[in-house]
Amino acid sequence: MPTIKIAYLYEDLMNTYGDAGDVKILRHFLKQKNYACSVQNVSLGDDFNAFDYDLVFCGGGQDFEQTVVAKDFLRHRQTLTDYIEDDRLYLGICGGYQFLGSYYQTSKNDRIECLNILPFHTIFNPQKRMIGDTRCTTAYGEVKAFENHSGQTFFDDNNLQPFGKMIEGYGNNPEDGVDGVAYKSVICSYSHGPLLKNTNVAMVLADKMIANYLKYRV
Amino acid sequence: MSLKSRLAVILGRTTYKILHDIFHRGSSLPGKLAYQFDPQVLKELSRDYQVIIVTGTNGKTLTTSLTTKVLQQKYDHILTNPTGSNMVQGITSAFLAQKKVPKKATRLAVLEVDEANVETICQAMTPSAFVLTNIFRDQMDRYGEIYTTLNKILAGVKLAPQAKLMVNGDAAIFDLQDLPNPKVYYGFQSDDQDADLRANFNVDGVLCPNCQNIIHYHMITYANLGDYFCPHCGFKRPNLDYQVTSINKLTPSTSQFTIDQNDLTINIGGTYNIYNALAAYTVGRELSLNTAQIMRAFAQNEQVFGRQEVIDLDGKQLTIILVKNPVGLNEVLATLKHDSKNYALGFALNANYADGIDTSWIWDGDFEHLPFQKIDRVITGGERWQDINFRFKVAEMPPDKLSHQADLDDFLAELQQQSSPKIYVLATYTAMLQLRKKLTDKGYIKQKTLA
Repeated sequence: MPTIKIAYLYEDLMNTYGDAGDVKILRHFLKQKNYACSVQNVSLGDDFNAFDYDLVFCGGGQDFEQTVVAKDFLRHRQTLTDYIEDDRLYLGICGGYQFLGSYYQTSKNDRIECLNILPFHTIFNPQKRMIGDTRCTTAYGEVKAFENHSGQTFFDDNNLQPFGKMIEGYGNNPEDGVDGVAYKSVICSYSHGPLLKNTNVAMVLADKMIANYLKYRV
Repeated sequence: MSLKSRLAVILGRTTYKILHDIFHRGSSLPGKLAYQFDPQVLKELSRDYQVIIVTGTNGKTLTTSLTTKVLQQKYDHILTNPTGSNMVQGITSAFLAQKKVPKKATRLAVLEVDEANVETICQAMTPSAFVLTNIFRDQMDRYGEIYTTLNKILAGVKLAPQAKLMVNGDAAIFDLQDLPNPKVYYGFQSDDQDADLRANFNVDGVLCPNCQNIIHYHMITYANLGDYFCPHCGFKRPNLDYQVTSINKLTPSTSQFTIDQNDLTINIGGTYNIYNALAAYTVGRELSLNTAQIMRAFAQNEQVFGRQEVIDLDGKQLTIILVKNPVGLNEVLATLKHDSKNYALGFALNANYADGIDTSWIWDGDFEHLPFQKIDRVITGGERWQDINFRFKVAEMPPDKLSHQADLDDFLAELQQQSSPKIYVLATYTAMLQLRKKLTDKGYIKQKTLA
């Protein structure tokens, strides 16, 4: 079987909210299409070239771990910027979403620099943690998930498109009624649950991974 | 005692007597009423007690129960809250339910305390010891992150700087060097100081508390527990005062192991439960019990409510195991591997408040590692059967062995139809209560249901 490769950024640290399920679900659908799947944990200090992979994934972690990861993550700015601009697949949930913006501000008002690949920023507000079931409409159809975050994400450019429009729950922040961001082949979202138990999204992603593999890595 | 506290005690005791003697029920209601009437009541009730608090994410109930059994070998009057009602009201109820104790007798209380309630309890009484089991992520919609949980526990510990801390030394998160309390550490012996291991990637709490690099291990027992060390700053496991030197035999229903040259057996499976026994052993030794007394206590074959309960289901052996977070779940799944025979497996998943309203934790369960060839059938159920059913599909459980029952009666009926002599059912808290009630109504469970 040909092998699809996933880079799981900081799998050992950003692993708190069951987002590993996204990778497991992709592996399941790839197997049904007769593709094997290898998952590489990229952790603190590890070398990383995004173009070696058919999907780059990063999930949500605890606030403490996220702040440690954020510093290390900056090393990958160039490769990830090139990769994303080249229309390659990135799936970011929660922290893995926030890292693509310009910065996030912690609950102690520290400003943590992020990759600044997309024009948005995030402000943590633990007094207003957004927890609960969510439903939103997306380009892939309806998505049901669970959110659990104190980070409120705000777009800094009106042209930026969200991943979903909320029917139930908060999404990016209490005001805008949208969740995540969709840019080229980037999907970012606050949807845990995991997101890809919405098989409508998972199937499209699995097909795109195979297409990318055939186009770039065969 | 103030008049108000006196009235609160009378109110609580009367409520307890009515519930207990007439309706044969125990609950946290008497404590709730008394505590609402006078928040000082717990202070008054616990006044003459030497208190040991057991807290941490996993293992509280069994550690409390085993510790109580151990101490009963020497002390006649031990108060405990055995039903897992581990918040202020439940603990107040436990004191209200206590029968009269002779004036001169030693009064000991072994209390299982919810992590978020440790500080409140320590405001009412000053414990002489804490047993700290572990901290893992647990129902994050309720408890928050592990460092939040740690700080909640420490807020209580700081109110009792004289109390002895009996600590799981294999848990790196318990970096307690700055606390003035006397400390005793328990853990598992490791033989190979040259071994250099990393925890599985689905495990949390692997950052060094000292320098925030990733912790390594000479030996891992499970999850993030073991003989840890930091290759960057030299932070390492403290010296152990009591240690498990070998595991001699593990089955899903028994564990045989050696602590400091003493061979011990408990009637429950799982490495994680050996930690609970080790914690109880530690308390026993620190309170001057000898090994023979501790062995006798462990040999008592009583079940702990719900955590792992064996029921005769028309000649089949049905074991119900509570699951509530990924670390506990993975330990249960690992324990099932020790069964040499074939079995059927049920999983009832709910997502009510007491279960955690977020079901995503099942995705950190190592279902992929289950021995599918030994499992005759998997039956999924509970209010969130779709989530757990899809989880088994993704784990590549053969579809012809997987079935689901949206209704709990049908779930139970399908369990009864199994030809496998053994059935394991994993259930979240409210799913377990619902299932127990059905089994009680049908006469399979004889004992009283505890609230």
